[in-house]
Amino acid sequence: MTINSDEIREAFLTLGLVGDEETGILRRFGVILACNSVDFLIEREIEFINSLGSKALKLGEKVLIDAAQWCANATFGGIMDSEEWAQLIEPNISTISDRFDGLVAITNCLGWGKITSYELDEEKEELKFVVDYSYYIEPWVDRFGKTDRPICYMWTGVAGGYLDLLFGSKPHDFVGDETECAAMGASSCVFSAKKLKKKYGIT
Amino acid sequence: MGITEDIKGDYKESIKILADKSRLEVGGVEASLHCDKFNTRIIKGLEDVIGFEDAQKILSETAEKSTYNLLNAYLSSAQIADSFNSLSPEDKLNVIFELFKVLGYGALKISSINENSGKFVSKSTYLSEGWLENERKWKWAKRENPVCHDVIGYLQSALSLVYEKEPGAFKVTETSCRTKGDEQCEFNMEVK
Ligand SMILES: [Zn+2]
Repeated sequence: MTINSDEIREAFLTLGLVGDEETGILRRFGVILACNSVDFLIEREIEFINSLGSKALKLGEKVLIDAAQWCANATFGGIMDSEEWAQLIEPNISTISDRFDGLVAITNCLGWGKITSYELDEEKEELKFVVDYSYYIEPWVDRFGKTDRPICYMWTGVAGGYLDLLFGSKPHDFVGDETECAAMGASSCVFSAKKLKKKYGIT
Repeated sequence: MGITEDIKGDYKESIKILADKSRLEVGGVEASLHCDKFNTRIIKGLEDVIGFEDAQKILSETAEKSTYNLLNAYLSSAQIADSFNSLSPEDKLNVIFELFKVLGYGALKISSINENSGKFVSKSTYLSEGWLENERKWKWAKRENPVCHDVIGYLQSALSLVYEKEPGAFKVTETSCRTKGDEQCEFNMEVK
């Protein structure tokens, strides 16, 4: 591994993670970023899911996962197109795994929790990764104790989004899944992603 | 201007990446970065599933409570509290609007303000800015309703702090929004 995540974190901070003096808009990597309290980001999802009742749970979860998969495409796509990436990361990239190392290093600067390990199978185009300190866990566990299902929806969407970017041609060529979740009592959250199987050839 | 600049400067300095957990802290409170693509699609997804009114209610209420805590932790901290509390309500609100700029929420301006009513305008909330871009990019239909639900919550929390009330004391309504074709986003405040 030739990607230095400490160096990337330092460089990321020097980009200035604050909005413009005049407009208050924080434009970086071709997207508009905003810094919200973790409480807001998770509570809005909890309230939404709660408002739906069990019948519409799957639909609600899909909305949250989808939003994140689009976000991964736009944000990480923008990051890989950026000058900062070209200077800092691109020179150290020779394989797809190196490229993913770079994406992980940036992801670990956003305040969502930490990707601590991963396995990327370039042949099968499959990904598995482990997240510690997922920002979902405390708000959910504080309110409900253990959950009966994985609840790290944003990460699940991002898992699919990573593979869309690395191997796909468009958003939602790949699909993510959370196979273990710390909110259910697991020691970490574990995510996998693979190509979306199209039913009867229809998306 | 001195106090505002000091408080804003310290706030910028307070942004930290906690490397061992890959979490982020602002003014001593956990926060994190997301893009307009995510935040506008959350709004769109919620509105598509539960409708405009319920989506607006969930987003503004959760934004209000959590932003109150986010701001209060910083503004009541030992190094800030005295200088912040020496300001008039209007100046306090202007300080908070500067902190909102730091957080990337866009620029808000006071048109008029007293304890019972107020008007605020913005030519650049991050949600309207993001929505307009994404509307073009993904060919979304033009909005008939305002989009800045989070900003309603931010404003309500700011007013509660400025007038020393509990969260929930003020009702803010977005009366114009750039995403509907209006020139700027406009917000009205009344006491609940
Ligand atoms: Zn989880």
